[in-house]
This record gives sequence, C-alpha cells and structure tokens, in this order.
Amino acid sequence: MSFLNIAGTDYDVGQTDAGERAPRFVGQLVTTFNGGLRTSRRARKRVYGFTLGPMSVAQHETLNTAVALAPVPVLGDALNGATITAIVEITGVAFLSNLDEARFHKRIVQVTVSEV
Amino acid sequence: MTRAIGAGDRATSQGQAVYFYHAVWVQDDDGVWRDLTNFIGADWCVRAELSATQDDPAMRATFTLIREQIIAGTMVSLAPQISASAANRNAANAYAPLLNPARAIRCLTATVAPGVSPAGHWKRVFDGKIDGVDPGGPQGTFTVRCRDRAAWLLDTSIETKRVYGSDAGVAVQAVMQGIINDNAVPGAPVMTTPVDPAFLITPPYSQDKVQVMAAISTLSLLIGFDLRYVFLTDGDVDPVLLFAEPPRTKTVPDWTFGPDEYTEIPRAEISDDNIRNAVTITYFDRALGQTQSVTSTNAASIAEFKRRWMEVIEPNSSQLDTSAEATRLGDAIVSDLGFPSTQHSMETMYVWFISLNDLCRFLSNSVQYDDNQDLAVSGFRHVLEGGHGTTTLDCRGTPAGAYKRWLSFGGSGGDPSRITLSWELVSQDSTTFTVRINATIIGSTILPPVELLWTGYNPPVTKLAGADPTVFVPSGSQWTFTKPTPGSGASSCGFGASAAGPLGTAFLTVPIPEASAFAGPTVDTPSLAVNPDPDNTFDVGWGVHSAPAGAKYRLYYRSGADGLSYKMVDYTVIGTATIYTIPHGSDFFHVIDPGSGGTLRTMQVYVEMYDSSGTFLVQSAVASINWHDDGFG
Repeated sequence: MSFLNIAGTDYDVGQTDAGERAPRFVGQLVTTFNGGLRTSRRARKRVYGFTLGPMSVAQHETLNTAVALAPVPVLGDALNGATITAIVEITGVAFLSNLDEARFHKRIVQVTVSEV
Repeated sequence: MTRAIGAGDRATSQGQAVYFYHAVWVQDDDGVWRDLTNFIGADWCVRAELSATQDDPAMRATFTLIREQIIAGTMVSLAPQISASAANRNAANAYAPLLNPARAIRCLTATVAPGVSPAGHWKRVFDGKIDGVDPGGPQGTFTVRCRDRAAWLLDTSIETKRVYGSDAGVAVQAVMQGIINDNAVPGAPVMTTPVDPAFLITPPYSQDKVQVMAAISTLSLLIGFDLRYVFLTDGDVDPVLLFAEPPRTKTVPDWTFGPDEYTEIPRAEISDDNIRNAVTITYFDRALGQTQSVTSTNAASIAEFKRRWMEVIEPNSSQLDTSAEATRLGDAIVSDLGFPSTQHSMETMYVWFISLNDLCRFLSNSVQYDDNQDLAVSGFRHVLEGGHGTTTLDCRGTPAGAYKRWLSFGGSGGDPSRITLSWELVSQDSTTFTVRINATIIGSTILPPVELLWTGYNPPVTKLAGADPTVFVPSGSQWTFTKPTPGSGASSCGFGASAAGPLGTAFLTVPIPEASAFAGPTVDTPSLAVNPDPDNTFDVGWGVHSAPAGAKYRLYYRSGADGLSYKMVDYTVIGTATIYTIPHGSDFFHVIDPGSGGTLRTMQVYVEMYDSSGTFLVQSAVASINWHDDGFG
C-alpha cells in the first residue's frame, strides 16, 4: 500500500506538518447545569494535514484538478491503512528551497484531507 | 394543549447520549413531497431554527440549506433562479423552482438513542409555507424563511363584507369558521374546538375587509381564548387549528427538567414592569341600553405585586355586551397579566414535544432557586445544526392566552373608533316622508344602534312608523313622518339621530320637507325638439288652474317677445298623471294631477307655431317635458 494516494495518484509526503488533526464531530458534547456531561455526538469525521512534494507543475495541476470540485478517495498508510472519501483542500503552495530544483519549478503543496 | 408523545420518547430525550436528526420536506410543483435529506442523491439540510411565542399567531422557521452541490459530476443548485438545475425542473422537465415562496414545507425531527435509526421515529414539528428564499447566504448556503399554516389566515384578506351572527345568536366558533370558509383560505382550514366556549355572536354585525386572522382573532380574544396551529398527537401528523382556552388553572406539570438535563439558565429575572392584576372592562350593555363596567382582579398577584390597574374600553359595537362576557374577558386578562411575562429562560438539549402553555417543573438547582419552580411556556426556540439540537424555553407564571396583546388593549380604550351618521330619503308623497339613518364606526365593521333624539322645530311633525325615541335600533332603520304644513318654515328645522355609547354621541340633522300645496311638479327639461324659432321663446311653466274643479296644475306656453305663439295639437303621456282638460289650440295646453311617489314622468306635446300675425310656421314640433311627482324632482 502506498503511503498516501489521493484520487488514484501516489504522493510523497514530507515529514513536517503531517498527521491527523482534531476530528470533526456530528453532534456535540455539552456540560449540564450541575456539571454532568451529555452528548449528541453520533459520528466522528477524521481530518488530516499533509505537506506533499516536491512535485512538478504538471503533477500539481493534476492534483488541483482532481480535488477541486468534489470529494475524492484518499487512502494509504498515512491514514492508518484506511480508505476514506474526503474533501481535499490545497491550503498552500511553495517552491522547493533547493535552487537547482527551483529551476524546474518543483513545488511543495500543503493539503488538508477532511472525511465527508 | 400538551402534545401526546410515544412511550419512551421522554426518557430518550433525557438520555446522557442522544442523537438528533432533522429533515426538511418541500412539496414540489407536481405536488410531490421532497425530502431534502435525500434529494437528488444528497443531503441538503444544514440548520433549522423554529420559534413560537404567545403573542405571535404563527410559528416561524428558518431553514439553512446547502445552495449547490456537485452530484455525479453535475452541478445541482437549489437557488430558484438557476433554471438549468435539476432541482428546479418538474416532472415534465419544465422550469419550476423547488424552493419558491408559497410552497408547502415541513420539518421533521427524530430524537433517538445511540445507534438507533431515525426511521420510524420522525416527528413533525413544523408545517407551513415558504415566505421567502434567499440564496445569497454565506459559504454556499441558502436560507428559507417560513411560517406555519396560520400564514394562510394571516395573508388572506376579506374581500367582501358579510354579516355574521344573528339576533338569536350564533356560536362564536361557527362564526369564525364561517369567516374562514367564506374567504377561500388556502388549505380550507377547519377549526377544532374541544370545549364549546358558550359565547354567542348577537346581534349580527358586518365584518369589515381585514385579514382573516385579524377578524377571527378579534372574536377569539373577546373571551380570552387562543387560536393557533398545534400538534396534538405523536409522530408525523398534521397540525390542528385549535380554538381553546389556555389551561390557566393547570397545576400538574407536563414536563420536569432537572439541573442534570439543562445546560444554562440565561435568564431568571423577576420584574413587575408589565403586571396588571386589576382590570376594568367598560362595555355597552345592549339589554340595559347603558354603558357598564365590571372589574376583575387577581388576588394572588395583588398580594405579591400590589394592585396594578388597567382599563379596557370595548366599543359599543362590540359583541361583548353582557356583564358575564365582560367578566370573562377581565378574568382572562388578569390571569394572563398577573405575573411577569418571562421570568425564566432555560436552555436544554432539543426537546421536540414542547408546546406553548405547557407547564414545566424546574427542579431545584440550588443556584437560582432551591424550591421547584412550576412555570408555563410562553415561548420556545429550537435550533438544530451539525447533529446537535438545543431548545430555549421562555417561561412565566401560569399558562396564558396572550401577553403583549392584552397590554395593547389597556389605557387608551382599545378601539378609538368614532361614530358617523348619515341619512337618506327613502320615499315621500305630498304629506309624508320616510328616512333611513345609517350609522358607521370609523375603523370598525360593527354597526352601532341608533337612537333618535328629537330636536326643536316648529311646527312638530308626527311619527307614523319606526322606533320610538330612546329605543335603540340597528343601523339602517327607517322612520316615517308627516310633513309640516306648507309655509310653516319647518323645512329649515330638523330632527336629530344619535348613536349613544362609550364613544360619545354623533348627531345628525335631517331636513324636513314641507307638504305639497303650491309646489307642484318641477319641469326639468323643457325643450322643443324641432324649433325654428331662433329666439327659442318656447317656454313652459306651472300655474294654478281653476277649472275643472280639483285640478291642481297646468302647463302653458308663454309667447315670446318676437310675437311667436304656439298651440298644442296633440300629446302623449308616459305615466299615470291625470289629464283633466286638453284645450286644443290654446297656449296653455293641459292640466294634470301630478300623481305621487316621486316618480319621473314624461309628456310629449306636439305643437304648431305661428307668427305674430297668426301665420302658421311649423306643424307638429315636439316638446318633451319631464317632471317628478310631488314637487321634489
């Protein structure tokens, strides 16, 4: 199994800023007047953050197109082997700091993967 | 009235873990109900907010929906002006927005224990119409503003005045239903009246052109009843248009909330700002013919908050016209206003079954109160979003029918209507006349009684028919009188009519016509259809005719200054005037009894015209003469 596959394409994942974020819940946890807890939570939705790359301009555009309009399947060891349908948001793009690679426009891409 | 719920529903709502679901259903252009949690393969529901208060006849709702989604690679939008969207196409694939004003809309919710499917647990909590849609919401959302079915009653206007009630009395609920039925309210609402209020609408009144809800609410408030759509039974059921007295004396709580169930007490204020515990109802007692007053008090409230008085003045046109009815209204008001409007607000997780006027027991929390508090729901607000649901309850002392609406009645006298009077001459002859007096109240639909007040005149007239002075009769009543003697000057006098009552007295002077002696018929339009005389000296007038005996009037030609003369050669009369003599060839050509009854009569005479030397000029020219009988043309 690949480490991270988004919409059918494997991506390299940087070590920094990669991992599972605080999940989203359907429902809430509330504290009652006397201090007790009540909850309406009925679902947990996983959220991940990754830094991908370096990738070429073409690879970057492929990712952009794949995730731009609709949820896509995301799977891999980075998700503890799970396959989820998720909305992938590209939250940032940067050039690789290596000047040699920069001449080829290699890019580093930050994404957030949110299970739908 | 408290909603019946299923066994275990209350326990489920109190659970430490509970799942909330909400679904919005809309009736599309084809009449098919669409579930927006599964519409074109997607869930569109984001948020639902439902609220109701005692002073608002309609429950209100605002639904937030997803505006557009990509479904199977195609963009689908609920925005009504996206005509290409599959959501806005009917069965014939014609453009028909799903979410359009006036579409029927419902909200169902399900409260279940963890792991339990909502199927089979849906409860309808809102049923109404879309008032407005706004696809301009933030972050791709869409808001839909709605009211419950009462919106149809609020939005339907009475286009034709009709008379309701009777002298014998018609049950108020029958009158209210009649108003609904007569005005084609969409959905043909049918009222449910579990307990006959035993209030009759008498005498009959004319219902003005107002909104249907305004008309029937006015009647409902006369007896302190409440009229609104409520859900009485469990499940996905239609609401009922309930006409009932609020359970003002209820003591057994419908629901109990402990501090382990609610999350917050946003308000626990006690204020006597709007307390009224003594109210005087001033009304017109038709049986007594007098303005009367009764005062109701709320002893418990007076003991706690001291005496706080207000007065409600019912117009003399009001259907409330007995001591018992006035007392009933006063008792309702002091019950509803005897305690603060909102002295307790509580926020808890969603409780779908709450209705207005439910009596709730709040167990001691040792912070705001260390005794249990029994308070009635005067308003509530549900919010469902993101799988979570909350309910905020506004509570007051006891169940009530209204609050702010009662306060608006006080002090100024409720209805500032004023009486206006008018008269019309119904008929007359040479010696008598009949008039009709009409009374109206500005701003009201109900016609007051009319009381004749005789005023000075000389000589007096004699009443031949109609009610006696000081006897109250309905607007539109008629009186017949003799005419005063000709030449008496009585025509410059009059008699007055008034509508007495708490609104004061309106006065009207009716001119009195004299009896006919010399007045005679009036020639309205003398003319000569074919008249070659450029001076148009043809003339007609009335005069006394001494022969034959008994004849009263005559018509004659008056020769002009140019010496032309006319001679009548033939005539026709349309009507019943009696022709006594036909002086053929004379310049006065007939004598008539003008008849009676004010009827328009026409005579055509055929004349010959001669010059001053007696030379014939024109033959059979026609003159048309019109007059009214009795000299009142």
